[in-house]
Amino acid sequence: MDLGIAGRVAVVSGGSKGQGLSTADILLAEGCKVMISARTPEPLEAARAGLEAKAPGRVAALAADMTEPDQVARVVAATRARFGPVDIAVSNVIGHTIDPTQSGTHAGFFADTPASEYAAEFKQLFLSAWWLAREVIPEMRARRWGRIMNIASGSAREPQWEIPHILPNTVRPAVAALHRSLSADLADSGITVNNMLTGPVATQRNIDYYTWLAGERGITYEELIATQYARLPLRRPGRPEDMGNAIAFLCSEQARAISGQCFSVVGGRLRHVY
Amino acid sequence: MDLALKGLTALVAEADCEAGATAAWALAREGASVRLQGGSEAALTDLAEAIAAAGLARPALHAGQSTGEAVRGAIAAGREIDIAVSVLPPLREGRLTAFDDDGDLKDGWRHVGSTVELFQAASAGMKARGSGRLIFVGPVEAKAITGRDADIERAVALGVLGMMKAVSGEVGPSGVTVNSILWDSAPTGEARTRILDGLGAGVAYFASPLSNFLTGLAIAVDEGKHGGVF
Repeated sequence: MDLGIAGRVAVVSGGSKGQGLSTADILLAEGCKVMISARTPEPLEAARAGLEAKAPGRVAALAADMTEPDQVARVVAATRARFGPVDIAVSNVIGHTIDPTQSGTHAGFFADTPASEYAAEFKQLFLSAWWLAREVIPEMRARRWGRIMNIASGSAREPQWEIPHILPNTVRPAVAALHRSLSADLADSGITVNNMLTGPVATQRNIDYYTWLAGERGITYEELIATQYARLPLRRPGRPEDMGNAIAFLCSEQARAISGQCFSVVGGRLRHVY
Repeated sequence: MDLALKGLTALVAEADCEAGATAAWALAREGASVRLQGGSEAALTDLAEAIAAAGLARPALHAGQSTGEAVRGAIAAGREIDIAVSVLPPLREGRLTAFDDDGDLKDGWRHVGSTVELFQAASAGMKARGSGRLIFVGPVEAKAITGRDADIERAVALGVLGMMKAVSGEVGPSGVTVNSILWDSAPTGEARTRILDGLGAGVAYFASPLSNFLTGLAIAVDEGKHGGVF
């Protein structure tokens, strides 16, 4: 299937690893020009170099914290200067950390998570997505073509109360509402907006998370993972490219009537009928 | 994006309606070997000839057969079904409060049985082979109240969607995925073209090995104009 997106300009945040990196890789394979961003320069440069080897001249990288509006604007401006206006914007910002020594929000349940962390997670996940959308929509609207996507989590539709996920359980549905509202506002503009729900994908971050959680529960990683995968109809974890392929498909010309969807790449974990 | 459908066999049920024909075209373009089931032999023949005239493999026909008979016929011809697509054709429009008898309701519900028959017959071989795709194409009214009085289609499609979700849990461990495309049939002109393009592409993507971690989805193709947050 010719996706019809060769030459399109994409920004992928969180693009140095995992699903963000895979998304950038697949968009490049479809002929896009891609700007990746991430906070930490070293892995970002490594990712850029790896992508550059596959798609010379069509990839750029800029270290930035995409949870700060001025830095979002800087990345979009740099993309415009290097490749042209942004056609495809993929927001891929992660939320809470499991490391209590790190700054930012932290894993927790309702009873032990202070209200300030909810506000911080809202900035991290919701406002970051809104800021990126706000930066790219005017030029997309002017050209009557655009794709806005957010890599979120299955928590947007079904809370995970068995693990310390109160923050994403609260904020991810709000992000889904943001993208649904945007999709309605932008209907007939040539811009689609979809919320990508991820789940048990074997990224290093998820492996680290489940290793930590297993330690918290006094069981092995393998024991924990076995219970997680037993809940999946497909009985196995996903791969980063499962998300990248879904995003590339939704970027296609053929998918220009698919908007406002929560597109679940979760191995069937979510049990709702619709 | 290579959807890797070459060499796979797809059976499209109710291919003699617009949505069914769209699905058949999309699969044929990606190189699948397509088989067409439906009640109108003339419409299926026209579709098969049009696909062949485009330089694609001519689909085999199962005109007038039930969906189960079509699957068994394909298997008898040496073609196990890798991709089974059940399409809900247009049903009588109107509001349930306006119907005098239950005839149209019963007629609509028979499509649930037809889908069950198709997926039961096709999934047996899929499970044995450890791979397969069950895809339903229905109306967006299953997810949303629209301006169209599609009460019967809504009820039937939601019955199928419930079944689909349950089946996704049953057949998932065998490598079979189960997904649905819900399309908005009301628009005309360019908007209809966009929606039909999305329907076909969605079917082809869900049929592809590239989507093998996606199951239990029901995606609307309606330009984002209907429905709630989820």
